[in-house]
Amino acid sequence: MTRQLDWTVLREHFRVRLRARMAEIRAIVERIAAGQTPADALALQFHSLAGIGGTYGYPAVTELARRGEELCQGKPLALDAIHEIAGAIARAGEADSLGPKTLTAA
Amino acid sequence: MNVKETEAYVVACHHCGHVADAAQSQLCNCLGKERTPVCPHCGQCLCKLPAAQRAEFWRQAPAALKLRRKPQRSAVPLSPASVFSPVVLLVDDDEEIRLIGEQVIEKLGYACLTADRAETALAILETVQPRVVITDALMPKVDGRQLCRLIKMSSDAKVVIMTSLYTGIRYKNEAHKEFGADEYLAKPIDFAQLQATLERFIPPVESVQ
Repeated sequence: MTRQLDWTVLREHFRVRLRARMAEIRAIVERIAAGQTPADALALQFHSLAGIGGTYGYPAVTELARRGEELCQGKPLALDAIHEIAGAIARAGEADSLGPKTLTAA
Repeated sequence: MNVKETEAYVVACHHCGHVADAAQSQLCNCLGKERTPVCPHCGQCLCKLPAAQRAEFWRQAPAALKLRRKPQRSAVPLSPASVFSPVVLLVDDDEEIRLIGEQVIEKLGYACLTADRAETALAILETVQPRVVITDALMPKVDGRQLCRLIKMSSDAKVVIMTSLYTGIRYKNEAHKEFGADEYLAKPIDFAQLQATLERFIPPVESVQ
């Protein structure tokens, strides 16, 4: 028996939420550049994305988010590189999902 | 099936008139049958709207928003068909993980409750005895590791910690020793591993097929 998820809706939800998350990341980067927010807030965002991306079948999002999380450890913060990573994550999220590791049974 | 392009669901707040995209809004945590979008301007949700107006709001809402409206705090299993199914409690502050995790766990034949934080999970545990609690390790205030300790003090539930902090067998044993977890799952979630873990703690004959 093949177990099916409402994958179309889930994928669309992921994409909508990813766009919102990327907007949040850009806003946090601006606040960091203005000295208003510590880098931890940004690291947490990337950490969340790293867990979510691959779960929804976007391993590229996970990989890029992990790089983003590593970049947040740098002092000073490499904001240009973080901007590039954020852009790459946004593009990766618009690609077709590989789907989750399925629950199919023969 | 054609994939409908995601549309912004722009509505005016009934309370302050602020116009915002409800599809992007946070949802409330009111105790009720459903969660409703919160106005980013005044913080009011739609729960106090007359039923007819709420129904009209949801009639026109995109599918992705409708999927998010199930309440996070529920003392009973959410679907009638799963009343006799073993209960799994999923705790994660990321809405995306709760959403897909709940669907997967229910497709596997279990009743699934979700919580967005440890405090909510503990409130659920006062009235429901899940067989398995799956919790994210990293959450604000009370994290999953503290939650695991608290659950183990007062419940027979198996606890699975999801984490991308610890990977590999080397850390698995430390997670178990230090926090009392029965298993750990790496993030991103491998649903085949999740299935195997649940079936180890709750044999398939007990779950609804």
